Amino acid sequence: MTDLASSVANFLGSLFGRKPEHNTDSEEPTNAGGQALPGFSTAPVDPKDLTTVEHPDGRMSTYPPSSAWNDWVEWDSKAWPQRKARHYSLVPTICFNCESACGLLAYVDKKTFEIRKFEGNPVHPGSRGRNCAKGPATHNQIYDPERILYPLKRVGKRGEGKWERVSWDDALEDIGTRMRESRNKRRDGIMYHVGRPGEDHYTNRCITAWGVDGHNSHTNICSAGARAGYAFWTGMDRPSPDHANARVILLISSHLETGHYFNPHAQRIIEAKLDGAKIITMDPRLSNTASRSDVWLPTWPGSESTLLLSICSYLIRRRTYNREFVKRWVNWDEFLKMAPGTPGMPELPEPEPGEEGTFDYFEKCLEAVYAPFTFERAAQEAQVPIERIEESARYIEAAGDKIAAHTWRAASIGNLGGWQVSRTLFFLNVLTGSVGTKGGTSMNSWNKFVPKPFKQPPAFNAWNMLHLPHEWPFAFFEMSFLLPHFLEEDRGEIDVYFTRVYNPMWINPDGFMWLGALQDEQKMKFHVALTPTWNESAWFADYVLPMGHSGERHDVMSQETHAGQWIGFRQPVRRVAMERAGKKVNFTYEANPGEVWEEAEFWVEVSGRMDPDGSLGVRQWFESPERPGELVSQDEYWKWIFDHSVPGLPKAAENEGLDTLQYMRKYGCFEVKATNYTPYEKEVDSGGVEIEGVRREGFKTPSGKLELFSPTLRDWGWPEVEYVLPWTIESHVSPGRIARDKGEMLLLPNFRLPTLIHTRSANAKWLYEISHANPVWMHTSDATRLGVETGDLLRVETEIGYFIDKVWVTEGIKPGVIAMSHHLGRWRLKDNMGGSPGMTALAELEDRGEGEQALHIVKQGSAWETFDPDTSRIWWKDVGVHQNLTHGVHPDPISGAHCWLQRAVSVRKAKPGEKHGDVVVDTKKSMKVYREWVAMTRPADKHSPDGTRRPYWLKRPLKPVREAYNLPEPDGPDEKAAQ
Amino acid sequence: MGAARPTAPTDAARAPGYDALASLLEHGARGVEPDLARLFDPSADPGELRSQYVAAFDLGIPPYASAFLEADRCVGSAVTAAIGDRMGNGAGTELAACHISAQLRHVAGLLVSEQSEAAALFVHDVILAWLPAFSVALQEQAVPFWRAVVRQALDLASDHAGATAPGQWSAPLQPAEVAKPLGETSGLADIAQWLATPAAVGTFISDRDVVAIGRVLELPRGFGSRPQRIETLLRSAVDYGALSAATDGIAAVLKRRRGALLELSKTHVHMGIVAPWVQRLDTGLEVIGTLAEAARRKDESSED
Repeated sequence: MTDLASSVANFLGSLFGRKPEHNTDSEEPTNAGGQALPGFSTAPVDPKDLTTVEHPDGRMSTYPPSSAWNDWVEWDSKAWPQRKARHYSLVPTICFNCESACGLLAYVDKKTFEIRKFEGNPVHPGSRGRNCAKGPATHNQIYDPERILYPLKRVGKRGEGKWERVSWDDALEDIGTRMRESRNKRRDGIMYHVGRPGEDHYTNRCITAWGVDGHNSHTNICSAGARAGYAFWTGMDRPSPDHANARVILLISSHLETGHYFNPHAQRIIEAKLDGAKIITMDPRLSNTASRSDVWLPTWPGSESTLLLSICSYLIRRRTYNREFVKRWVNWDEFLKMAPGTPGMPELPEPEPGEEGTFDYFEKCLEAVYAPFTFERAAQEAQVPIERIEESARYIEAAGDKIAAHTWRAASIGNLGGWQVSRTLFFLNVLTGSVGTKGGTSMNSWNKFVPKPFKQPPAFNAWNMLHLPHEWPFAFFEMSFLLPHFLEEDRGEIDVYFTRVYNPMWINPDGFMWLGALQDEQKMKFHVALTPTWNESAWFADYVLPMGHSGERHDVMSQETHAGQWIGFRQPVRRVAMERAGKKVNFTYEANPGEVWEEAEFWVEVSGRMDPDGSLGVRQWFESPERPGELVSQDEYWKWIFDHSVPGLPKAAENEGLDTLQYMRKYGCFEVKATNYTPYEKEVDSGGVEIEGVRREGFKTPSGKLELFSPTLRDWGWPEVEYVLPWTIESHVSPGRIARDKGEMLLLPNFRLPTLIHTRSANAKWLYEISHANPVWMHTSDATRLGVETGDLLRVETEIGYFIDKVWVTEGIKPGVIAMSHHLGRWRLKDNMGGSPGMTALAELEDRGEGEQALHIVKQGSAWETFDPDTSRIWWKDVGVHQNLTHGVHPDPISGAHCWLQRAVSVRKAKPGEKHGDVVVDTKKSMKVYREWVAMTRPADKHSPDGTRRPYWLKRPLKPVREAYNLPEPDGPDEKAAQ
Repeated sequence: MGAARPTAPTDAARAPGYDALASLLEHGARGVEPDLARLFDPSADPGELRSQYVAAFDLGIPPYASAFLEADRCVGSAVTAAIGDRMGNGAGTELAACHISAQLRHVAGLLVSEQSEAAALFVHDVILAWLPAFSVALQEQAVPFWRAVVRQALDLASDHAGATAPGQWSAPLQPAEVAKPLGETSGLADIAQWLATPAAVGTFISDRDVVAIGRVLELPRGFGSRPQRIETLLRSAVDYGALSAATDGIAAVLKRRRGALLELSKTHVHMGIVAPWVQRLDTGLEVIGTLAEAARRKDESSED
């Protein structure tokens, strides 16, 4: 007791003279615009009962009934234990964080018009009331203390970080004038570089109206490989698995099901699993999806197509494939005509008398061609137990035409020849007849509804060689990640460069090449960053224009979440709530925080400034259908579409006594078709393809059928068997190309987390609390070999540089492979600007000369003081490492995809002085790697069979007129672009 | 010349002590006053303290009497109301009445207004009803600064209430009675819920405790709420034939906490205060023992 009394007395003695503090109230918080956060008064209304909805998987959840959305009342949680009612206007919108377009309900306070929270929209057909973490976290993004609230113009050197606030009017005038000047000179000087668009037609229509070849997408670092594989089969480029009704769900990695389309797909996969479906996942990493699968196949990256073909061969050999479907819908007749003589083709059997040209003979050939793909070979290449492959084959064999299969990034975008992964995956769908069936795999265009606007501008007559140069005639799509390399080679220059919710320097490989390009005012003359949040590339822009998040903008969007069609309407929810309350809003930035605007209105206004008198022929496309000569309003634009271009919507609206715009503003979505199976069987009067005497819709390939054999690839200079047929192509990171005995490893740098979306989520505190670091996953055996333990610093050297990151030792990764999530490692160059201190590291760039560039981390993530008390509660420091800077570019010669997987030429424990987050790159090596990959191409100007740049039937986001496809005269100027 | 022997603290001296501790424990996540922080750690880094605060209380052991005394562990039910009734509106804070800071602040207020007897009674009946169990559990967390702060609060409260001498006080608040999860239909989920309830098992089995056991035995702990993680630990222990080892791990936690409480009864508080917690820890050991016995019987039968 003496010790205790002594301890207490000492403690109290040290506090002598301190006065007790009784009032602990802190300052009133404010929102991102500096306005006081909502205050609420007691209301005399009791809350209403919730509506209970039973989901297809048997679970239930509750939602406010739509009849009460105009005046929804809840108790004020902050007033607890007092019972104070708050009145809300519930305004539906759709999420903007990934491409799923899930439904959200914004709770907008009716007194202050502040947004209290986002929850699920129960009437949305895709998400059905449910959301992943990213949806509700929209609230973080809107009330982000570091948000860009006003248009900013650069006043110092590019990248110096000096800005002045300008008015929207001044910004529009300046940008519109520069666009006009460019358009007067050329039709390839304006470039719109977009990340995930999050909308379905609006901006493409604007670009078309400008009359330029200006669309530059991020597809080549995302889905190009998968798209190419699906397109060579079907002419359509994305799959849409009907997970909910499948018997086997076959996934190449967990990319979509735990990342991209996480919410709508995961809930349907679980429904199927509860109903007895088997899940098979190929992934070198034990992802959440893999851990819940019936069979996990940890394949060596690049071996997936061999494994898939071994199952195809098994089905063919046992004649358990869907013979009738293949006979009916596959271009087997073209195979029989064209396959003989194909370089590398296994020897075909001699036909029996009378058998030539028949399906029976094709069947024999098919068996012979794919006979080399045995389970034994697959097990050896994939380095997985043969029993697991056999088990998978048996599940697939038993599933009939109910195989829902999916690949998007992962192996398809990881490997040289990755496009063959989706092609061989879809081969299984074709062999089982599970194409567009219930429980099978559809194509996205069957399950995605894109409406038509009131006036569609004609296709432009131009071809931008910075988008689709001759080397990649099949690219899906523009070779955007090579833009800095093209500029370095003096292939062109850009007058006006828009980055739209996109951060090319950070997300693309070889970021230091981007840094050089963004700094080069001679080649990239004018850069406008349209972004809701600061990002590394915007820092080097000439204008930074704040754009809205979900809940702050108009867009229409649909997504292939399941075997049906729906349309979602993204809305500026505060504007809608204000208009419901009778307040007039002219432009959305009047309702958003600060002067945050939306692109839909911005494009109309800037296009008006581009062509004020209509002499360019641009302005006409932006004028109101109702008020000739005046620019179109958002209400007019969308109401016309809802009135004229969405089947069933006018009737549904009428049934509720609403007009179509009122209906969409009320519900935020509309189901166009509940189901849509086997649309290729639909009988048509013209076009399509004749099947057994009946003309049917068919597929969008030249033959109208599913093309097992690709005449297109053969004719364009790729006649070998590994291109013309679903086959396997040796990856650039095959076991034979990774010298593990010399310490080399395979770096898998692009796995997803379900809680983050690259640039968009780096200002969402809830999401970053869940995941903020991207350590290097390493197998225990490799860790033992290298003498590292979890938390140790690791130096990973690639072809062009190295980075230092922490290691996480786990059994959940294949030996020889290391893996990192690609969402993290954000940085800023100023302590008080350019990013959230809790989500980005403060960094310094160092130009060491001779092409050597370095990024040094000055300060890791930290807490900071703002109006939001949560920013002072940041408890993590590690915000990840920007690995992409060290990735050499790997453009696949067919699909144009950046093959993300990297050869880690050296992996070792970091030495003293090597700091976490440090990155060093030699850009001379960058160009060397680039040229090595360019050398693998077979350019159109040497191989085109018809003097065009690209097969016309292949998709492009925006197709120019057919004339623009003609190759320019040899050694002459590119006439088309100069018009 | 030796140091002067400290004099017994007075109520006037105690008031800023309670207030300072309340301030630390309320504002810890938003930043600690440097002067206060240096009382406990001269080299304290504010960022590190914030990080520790989250680990200690937000992710670790909630500093609420209700979490210890209620059967449902929920803030806002009977215990919160009972403490709130005793405090009236004098706490000067928006925290729930069952939060440690609200209670410490309340005592400071009573002392400032010279209500000495009421202050001591509140300390004994309310704060000491759960603070020993809270402190003992927190001492095993890797949060040295906040361990020291809470330990100082316990020192101050027990010294103030003269709590080593029983008999002169009314009865303190008691942890709820929670039935043992050993019915015919009880499963691992029920046992996990029970083990997650301090009023049942006598201590707060934290995520850190669960992770530590799982790590030693190489068992998955899964994700989700604390009861869910305890259940996952037990379920995976069953799946991997390590239930006996897992129950041994849990029993070891309970025994350590029991020993620590008995030590407190020698230095800080009379046995009447720790007895309900020791009794519940004994019950916890009994339940765990039953589970371990069932596991052993299953192992033996499967060997047959």
